[in-house]
Amino acid sequence: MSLPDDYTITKVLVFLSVEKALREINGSVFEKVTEILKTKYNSYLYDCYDHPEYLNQILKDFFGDCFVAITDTIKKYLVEYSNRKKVNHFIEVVCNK
Amino acid sequence: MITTLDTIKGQRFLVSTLIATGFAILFFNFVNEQTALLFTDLMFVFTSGSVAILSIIVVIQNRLEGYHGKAWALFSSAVIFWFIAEVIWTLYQQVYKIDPWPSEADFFWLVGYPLFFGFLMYYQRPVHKSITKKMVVISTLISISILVPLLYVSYDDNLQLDEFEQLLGLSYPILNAFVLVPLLIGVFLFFKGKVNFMWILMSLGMISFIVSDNWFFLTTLNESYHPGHPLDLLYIWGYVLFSFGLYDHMKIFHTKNIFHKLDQN
Repeated sequence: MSLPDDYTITKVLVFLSVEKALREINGSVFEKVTEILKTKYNSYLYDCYDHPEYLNQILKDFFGDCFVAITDTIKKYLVEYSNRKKVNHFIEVVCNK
Repeated sequence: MITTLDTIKGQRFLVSTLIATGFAILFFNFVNEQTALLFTDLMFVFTSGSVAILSIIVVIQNRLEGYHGKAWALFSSAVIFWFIAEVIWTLYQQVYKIDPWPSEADFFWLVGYPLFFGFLMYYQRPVHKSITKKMVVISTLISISILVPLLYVSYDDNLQLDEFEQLLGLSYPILNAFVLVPLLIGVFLFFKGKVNFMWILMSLGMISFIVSDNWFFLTTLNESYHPGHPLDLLYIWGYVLFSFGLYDHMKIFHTKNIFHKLDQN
């Protein structure tokens, strides 16, 4: 059995950070975001690493202007991995106002 | 998926409920004072009971998880205390036929305010970084500008109230002033977004309570309060607005439990 590649590890790290940030608000917020991702974009939270714009839009729709505070929490959890180019891109898009 | 049509229909039902309760109180006031009193007392118990039941459903839905889970648990506790207060008030007025103010009901009402304050704090905790100094200053100024005239009026030497009654009466506007600050901050915070409508309803509900509490305090000072007074309608509207706010929250965060389905697959 081969070890997961860097892309997969980073994708999981991003997924876990987003999950933690959403669950910190409430489990039903996490579930709702996941449901919208599935119904509206036919994707899972795990796929947000490749499509951060989905998460950005959902959080904006839900929380209005204060979505920034939620994306800041995601950013906080990912800050130690932000030297990775794709993680940095993810943070930029998710936090996009 | 909640459509715009659903929201409009929901609002129409809300407006109809508010108008219907208004007309009902007006009608029973025309019949006679006793009928109006019985109707408003029953409405207090019914509406506060409905909010308490809905809030328990929301607590179960949120499973005490995260900040919002704790926030809803505090809200539910506050509403349950207010429901107990309404029942005590009605028992005093309808069964024992004695003046319910001041009574044990006040204890339950007063305990509800710190719990409601806690609800506001926990609900806004995840987005507290979006709170600006400007929001805090404006909300505090509005709150103080309401409290100060009430404090001034209460220092009239010719009042018919004893010290305990005066203190008890004053504790409502003071607690309201504390609650109003995070409440207004919430209005600024959730101005846009899907949670906006729910927040507007919850805020209007609490503002209804604050206005009626302060009005009740003033009518108690000049002894002009009578059963079936228009301010009773504001309390009932407060509970109605809370009910619709909770219903809207349940609709927004209702999921088809996709995790359960995924587990089954």
